[in-house]
Parts: sequence; C-alpha cells; structure tokens
Amino acid sequence: MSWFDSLPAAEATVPCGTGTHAVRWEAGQLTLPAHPDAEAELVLGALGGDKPACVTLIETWASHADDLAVLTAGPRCAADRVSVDWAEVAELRAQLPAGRAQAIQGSQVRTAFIRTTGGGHFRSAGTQAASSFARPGSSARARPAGSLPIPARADLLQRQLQQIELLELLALGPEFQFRLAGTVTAAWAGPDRAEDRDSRRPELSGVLTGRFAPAAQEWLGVDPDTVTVTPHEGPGWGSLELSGAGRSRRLRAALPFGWLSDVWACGLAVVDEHLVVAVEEPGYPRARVLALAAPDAEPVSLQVNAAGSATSGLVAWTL
Amino acid sequence: MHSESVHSEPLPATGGYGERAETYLRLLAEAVLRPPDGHADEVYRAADTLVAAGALADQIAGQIVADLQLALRIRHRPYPRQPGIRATGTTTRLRRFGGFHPGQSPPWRVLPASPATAGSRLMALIVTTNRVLAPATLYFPAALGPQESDIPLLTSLTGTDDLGTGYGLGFAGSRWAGSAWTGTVMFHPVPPAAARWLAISSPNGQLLRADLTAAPRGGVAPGIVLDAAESPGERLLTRQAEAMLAALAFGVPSGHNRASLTGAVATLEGAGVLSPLSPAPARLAALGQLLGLPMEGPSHEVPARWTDVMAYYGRRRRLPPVTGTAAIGAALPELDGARFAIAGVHSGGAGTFLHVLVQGLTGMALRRPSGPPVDVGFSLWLRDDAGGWHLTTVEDVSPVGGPEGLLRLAVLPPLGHATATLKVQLTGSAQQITATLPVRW
Repeated sequence: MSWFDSLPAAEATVPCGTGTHAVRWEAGQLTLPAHPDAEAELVLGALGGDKPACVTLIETWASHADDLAVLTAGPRCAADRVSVDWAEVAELRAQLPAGRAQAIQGSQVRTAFIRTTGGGHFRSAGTQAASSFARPGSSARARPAGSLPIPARADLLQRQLQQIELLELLALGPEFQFRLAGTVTAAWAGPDRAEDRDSRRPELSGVLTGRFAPAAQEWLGVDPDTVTVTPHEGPGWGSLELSGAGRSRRLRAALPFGWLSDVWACGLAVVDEHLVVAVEEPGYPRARVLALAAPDAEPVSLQVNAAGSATSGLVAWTL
Repeated sequence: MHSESVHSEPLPATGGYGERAETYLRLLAEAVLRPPDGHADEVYRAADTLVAAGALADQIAGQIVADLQLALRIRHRPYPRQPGIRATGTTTRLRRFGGFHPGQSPPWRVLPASPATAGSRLMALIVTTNRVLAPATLYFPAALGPQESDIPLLTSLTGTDDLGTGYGLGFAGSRWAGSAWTGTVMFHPVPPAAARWLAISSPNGQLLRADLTAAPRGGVAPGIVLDAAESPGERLLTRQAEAMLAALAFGVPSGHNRASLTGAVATLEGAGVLSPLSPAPARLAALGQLLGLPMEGPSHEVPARWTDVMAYYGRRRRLPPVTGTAAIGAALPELDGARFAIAGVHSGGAGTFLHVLVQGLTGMALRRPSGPPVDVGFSLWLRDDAGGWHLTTVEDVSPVGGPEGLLRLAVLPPLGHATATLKVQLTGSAQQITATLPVRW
C-alpha cells in the first residue's frame, strides 16, 4: 500500500514541439502516452539526440521529487490557487543563455534512471546532490567528495534553472501540484530520512503548519494564524492541544511529516467535520482513515468514499 | 529554491535561538500567504531584525524571503522587491572578513611596539599568514606633505629589514593631520625568521623602525570570556541604543522611532529571542525619551555608561581630546567565531580612534555611509583609568588584502587624557570579553 493509492489518475496537456502532448499521472508514476518508451528517448537525448519537451518534463519531475521548494511554492489547500502560464515559463527559458543552461542541466541530470521503491516515480540518480540545500549535518545532501565548488555565476544560473523547472511542474495544474507535493512529502517521510528531517525542522514545521492550518480552520473555525504544527517522530499519529478561548484560542499539533502525503495530498484532511490524522487503508474510491470528531476525542476508524475530483485539484471525500 | 550555497556559511552561534528564529520567520511567511492577504513587508522587516540580532543567518533569511516572493508571484499577488538590507545584501555592500575557522586558523603574532621615540609612532606589529600589518602614525617632514593626494608621497616610501630584504608596501585607512599620516602600513611578504627589525624609509631617511624580536604577549591578552548575559534580542536592542548614542555624537538622525522599536520588539518576542519580561525595551525607550525622541521609558533604567556619553555631548563646551598615538598591541580571545587584535589609539583634534584588526566578522560595510552608524553585530566599550566609559562605533573599514579587515573605531566621547590603561569590553551575539590593557603613549 502506498500513499498515492488514495488518488485517482490525472492527466494534463503540455506543449511539446509544435503541438501538445498528454502527461498522465497514475499510481505515483508519470507517463507519456505519446512517448511509450520515454526512458529510451531520455538516453538518446543524453547522447546528443533531440529530447522532446514532455520527455524532459518527466526528467524534471524526477529531479524535484524530493525538493522542498515544491512545498514552499505549491498550494496549501484547495482554495489556494497557484497558476503558472506555459508562456511565462517559455519566456523565462528563452532568457537563459542557452549553452550554459544546457551545460549545467546536463551535468546534473544523468540518464541512469532508477525506479525508487517507495514512490514508484522516475528519479534521476545524479540529481539529488546538485539540487539540494547543503545544510550542515545533512550527510545525504553534501556535495560529492572531491567535487569543485560551483562558481557564483553558474550557481546563480543553476538556481534560475531550478526555479524555471519548478514553474514548469506547477504549470501542469492543480491536480499535478498536489500529487507532486505528495511525492515530495512521501520522499521526506521515510524512516531513513529522520536525520534529514531533524536538520530541517523549522522548514518542515512551516510546511506542515501552512497546510494543516487551513484544515484546522475548516474543522474548528479556529484562526489559522494561531495554529502551529511541529513534526512528530515515533509511534502514534501525533497529538493535538486546543487551548484558550475566543480570540486567544490556539491549536498546537504534532503530526508525522507523512500526514502530508497520506492525508493532505489526497484531499483527506477534513471529511464531514472530522479531522483525519492517519490513513489505515489507502484506496480509491474507498479508503479507511483514523479521524477525530473533536480535538479532545479519541481517533476513530472510519470508511470514507470519494465524492469526485474537485476543480481545485484535490479529491473530495465523504463518510 | 534549492541551492548548495544557501547554508554554506556558519550559522550564528546562538544555541537554540537560530531554530526558533527560523521557525518564526517561516510561519510568518505562511501567514502572509493565507487570505486575507498579508503583507510581505512584515516578513522582510522581521528577517532584517532577526539577522541583525544574530539569531538567524542572513542566507537562510534571504532564502525564506526569496521563497515567499516566488510563492506570491505564482498566486498573482504583489510582492515588493525591496527585501531589506540584510536579507539580500544588495542595498549596502556587506562582506565577511572570512577565511577564519575558530580554533584552527593560524594565530596572528601581535608584537608590542618599541618604546616611543620622537617622530613616528607604531601602535603594534601584527604578523598574519602572508603579511605584516603596522598601524602607525608617520610624521613627514613639512616639506614633503601633506599633498592633494597622499599616493605619490606614500609610494616614495620603502620597506626594508636589517638583512637588507626589500618589502612591498601597502597602505590602508589613510588619514592626514598636518604632516602626520595615520593608517596601516602593510609589509609583504612575511619577513624571514632571522630578521630583527623592519623599517619604513622616505627619500629623506628612516621614518619608523619596528622591532621584530619583541616577544608576543603570550598569544592573547588575558581576558575574561563569558557567555553574554543578554539574549540576542536584548543584544540587538542594546546595540540600537548604542547607535542612538553614536548618532547623537555625530549629530545625525538615529533613524529610530516608536513604531520601529515596537515592531522590532514584537518580532524578537515572537521569535523567542527576547523575553517579554526583559527590561531592554523599556531601557531603550527611556534613552530615546532622554534624547528627545517620541518614546517613553523609566529614566532610572538608563545605564550609567550611556549617561556618560550623553553628558559629554550634552555639554556646550567639551574637553578637547588628548593628542598623540598610543600603542596597545593585544590580541583578544576569540569571540563568536571572530577574532580581534587591538593595535592602538590615535587621538587629536578630529577625535580619538581605536585601531583594531578583525577576522571572521559578518555584515561589515566597507565604509561607514553618511547617516546613522552601521550595526556590525558587536559592541565595544572602553573604560579609561579615571573610570570614564567610552562607546566605540565603526568609522571606517579597510580591507588589507587578506581575510582580515582593519577597523577604525571612533571613541565616543574621545579620550580626554593619556590614560595608562583601557578596560575593553567586547560583546558579540553570544559571548563577552573583558580585558584590561596597558596603553603606552
């Protein structure tokens, strides 16, 4: 069972050459119906052949599959509309010095694609170190030993390129935005990433709070600015504490980072006045969740049913 | 966005304050993104305040601001492009006198100056890894100087040692008073171990000789290093008070007002880097009130050293500064990942100035711009042998060709007599050094 089992397939069209092609997300994987052997095209592209834009997009998705910038930019809730125009992305790409951008991109992204065991998405083996923050204490994110520091100009160009890539992914539309966010949070939620999470606690607190606060508002009518969430590590679903009254009412929560992929990204945060704190059996159109009817209540196991995919990009559910 | 460079600088040494400050700023950015539309300016101001307090690395603050700008842009919401001074480093030119790894970098050798002789006066000889720095006052024959530009005169000088070796000379922080030049002479390369002295000569003869055989003063000056008693928030407010005193001394507006103080206090308290019970905000407000700013606070909260400074500049007739150059030559223990060597003092009609070599200091403007004094993240107070307190503020910063920088600190009020000792109290974000140093005029 995987977090994405609670999500239906999604499809979008992207510019490719002089036309458009369909991009399909299903069961955690991005596929291109118009390019049945995308991996072979990627290999040919790396060897100097033409690489169709939508094939490159798969590569880009893989390279941002654990990029927290996806979460700082992407939507927080169904009402939070993020819209990026393909024309804007094309314009930004056109502003890049072509040769340099390609050189940097080429050095980051290798064709040795592997399927990750957890997410089932494409991942570029050569991308992780180059596309990540190097925070002290995060061994998984350190620059490879012996590599040279990137000169400042190349670094700036690389950041521009990464931002453009992120905008391209967001241009896929709300359904893909939530699915990409789910992919990123699932990548960070694994037991093998506990050290990484510990070294990025402020960032993860912001990401959790930014998404949980609107859900808490919908559930309790609490002011979202008074909600804080810290990452929960260890057994159990976490904790909730509502204190104060009236305007001084505050909600403090501790939730596993995986709540974002399992619950929030699948549209399950609040179902019929229940706050979902965990997913027991993911599934679509039917799933079993652990939910709270009130902050001081014990969580109960509930079956929820999909009520269709809203235009906001998030699936709607009912009891 | 992701970038390897973002977290490559050392984080401020402020214990758990850094995590609290970062979390606060990230939650503030989240609040701005929620409807009803918040103001990004609030995040920019908070970022500046937390960086100024030393609670948050400017690279992290800059990244949070950049992330927020992108998030607002793709929501088609306005995002002001004026992200503050510290968060981006674009409004003023800031640099780090870097390359310093606390406890690892080769130590400087700080040699005390020889006894004073008639004419030129050396403050100290500081041997770094690749050069020798000699802050000094050089007296030129009246026929030679000063000129419109000091460059032709200084380029006529030569550097030699007793072995006959010639040295390249460089000059930093030049100031003329009549025919006397005060600044730092840089010798390079480092002299061989057998050399006994260095000399600076003009075409008319030797101007200065510096003894290389004097024993360094046991590494660093004996001083007391303590964890700073104040939180980063209190330190920032104290430095703001010092900036207000310096503005009084320079006769420029301090740029502080009730709204800026209230905003800074709210940010510092919200980020957990200032206790709501701290007396620092009231102390700063009381000082502001005494200085005629629209603030109110209990006057008994104002520390005695602040009133020493105010009393001097409140006088209609002030005592003239003592005239002369004094040698100190003492390296201080490391402070918050930076190191300092006090070279000496030069005093005259323009005021009293302390010359300090520094390495590993962040947020340093290359020159003090006109207007309010620049906060460089530390406080340095002096106490003379008569018990008078003197605030110092950065008047000038001179790169000296390596990772070090030379600070020329204005001493406020100037020294009124040739004090025999100076008690130096240097306070950073997390640590404080107190050392009593002999001063030889």
